[in-house]
Amino acid sequence: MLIKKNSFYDYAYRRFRRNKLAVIGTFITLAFVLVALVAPVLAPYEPSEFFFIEGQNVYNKYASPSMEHLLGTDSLGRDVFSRLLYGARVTMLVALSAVIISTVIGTIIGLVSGYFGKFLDAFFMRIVDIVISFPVLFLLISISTIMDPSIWIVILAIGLVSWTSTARLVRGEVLRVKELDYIVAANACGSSSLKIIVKHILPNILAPIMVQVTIGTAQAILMEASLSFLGVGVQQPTPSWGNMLMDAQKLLVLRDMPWIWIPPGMVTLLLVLAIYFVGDGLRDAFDPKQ
Amino acid sequence: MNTILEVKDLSVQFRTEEGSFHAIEHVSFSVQEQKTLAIVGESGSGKSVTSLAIMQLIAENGNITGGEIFIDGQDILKLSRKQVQHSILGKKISMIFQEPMTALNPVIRIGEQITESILEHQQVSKQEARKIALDTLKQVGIPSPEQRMKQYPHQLSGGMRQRVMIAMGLVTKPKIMIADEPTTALDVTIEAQILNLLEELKRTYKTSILFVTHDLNIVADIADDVLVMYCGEVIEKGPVVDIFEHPRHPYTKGLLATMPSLDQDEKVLPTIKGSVPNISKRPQGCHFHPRCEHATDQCRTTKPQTYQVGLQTVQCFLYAPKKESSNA
Repeated sequence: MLIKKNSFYDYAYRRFRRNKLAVIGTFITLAFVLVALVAPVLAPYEPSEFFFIEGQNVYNKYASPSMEHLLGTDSLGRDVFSRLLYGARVTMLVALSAVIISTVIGTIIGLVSGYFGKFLDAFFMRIVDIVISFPVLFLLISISTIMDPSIWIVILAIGLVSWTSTARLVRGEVLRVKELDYIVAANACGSSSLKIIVKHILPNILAPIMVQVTIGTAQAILMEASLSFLGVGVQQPTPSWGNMLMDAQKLLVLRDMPWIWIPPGMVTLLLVLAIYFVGDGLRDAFDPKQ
Repeated sequence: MNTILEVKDLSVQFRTEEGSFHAIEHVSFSVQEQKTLAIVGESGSGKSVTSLAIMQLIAENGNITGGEIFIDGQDILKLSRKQVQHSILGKKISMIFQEPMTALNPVIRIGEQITESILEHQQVSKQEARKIALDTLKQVGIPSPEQRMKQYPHQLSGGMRQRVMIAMGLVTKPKIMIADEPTTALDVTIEAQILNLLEELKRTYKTSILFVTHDLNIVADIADDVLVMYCGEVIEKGPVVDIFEHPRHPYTKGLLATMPSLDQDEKVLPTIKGSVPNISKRPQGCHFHPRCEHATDQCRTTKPQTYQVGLQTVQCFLYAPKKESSNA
């Protein structure tokens, strides 16, 4: 067992298990991860494979669901179901990578400004203010216009604008923890700042960081979806749930062809909701007052 | 006899919204080898600030504005932060905190917390450090130390945790330990055990103790010398017997009078009139004059010097050589 018996995390795990919504959320999230991992096995077709109307040299566009195409085909005659499965991979890759970037940056900056305070704190917090004030959408639109839009640009862009909440959270937690006696005691033992930060402060603020990671993942999924929907995120032909929704920009599709936009919309909603439940569950589980 | 800790003319200033104030002013004292010095005083008298200043743990808005602190003959205020961390703190001097419930890191096992301080200051292997930790835990009277080493702080009682804290302070065999009200958070039976333990360890480890407290019973129990602080100044110091038998300063007299005694049937305990003035509104002259029944015009305007009376030194005009006061 990874969790040491009777430790803080052991108790948290027990509390988490009692929270039904959180457990359901965990299972849904894991199911999505599994589907994303085995997408090539489950998908009946390649995600970018074009289909033609039988015997004709015409794309089979907007085909309604059938046995051949479980969720029909999209505006270019590609299998929606296959794209949905492969899209899960892309969406999760983008969300997780972006969250890793934002958590690493946010945690380091939060630790440094919280622990050292004074000039460093003022400096980093002003940077946070500046990043928060960025009109993110326009920033990303300009980035993807200037640079060749690739999935990595999207990841980097989301990661680089969403570390601010982690930084603020970590800074606040550090300010709280560093006044505690055991940090003062570590100082009294002559421990170096680096050691105090890494060994004494970080493990004690891991719980709120983990909550922030789950919530950040959900937000990153939504961000990817909105960016791709607007055409500045993940680019065709790579499928993502966001850019599958692009077709819904056409009134005809929105009104008459729900199989094209309801599935990606629903899975996005379901996954984000599930992750939020996990985050809520974690927050309650880590709260010793529960 | 060697002097282990010598504090000369130490002043600490804090910056606040309302201005800068001296929390302690011109504090001087010394602690001899294997002796216990107790600092007593009410809340706000500067006794904790004094001990934190020695440990270089003053809060960010405070700084040492003057004085020298010699530990084992070395002025630590002249050393760099790195040198102090490496060769003084935790090595020559260690500290026991008031709250054993919060002074241990909740997510690290007891054993690891103790060995950490050994590994920090001594060139020993992990196994040797573990062995030292185990021996020290035995020394401080923790039953089945092997199991305790694997436990987390929340699995120990308050008294046990304080023992662990003391063990952590002792593992590096420091020359002096600062104990800042180490028994305030414990109940009286445990308090007696811990005090006995400190007394015993002082001898086995040949260390001196600087004991910060407001409990005069403890002082009478364990101290060799006493330092009485009021409003950030040392108003009286001397050997414990002399202070308790012949308190000189009116404040010390008042403090001792407030001690409940077993052989007198008093309904109401005597108190010292008034309260400690706020740091921003310290009176002119002798800080104690508004509460002192012997206060003269001189006390209201000028600060008394320290005068030697027997083995004690007192900061009070009553003991000025030219004015032999009869009611002293």
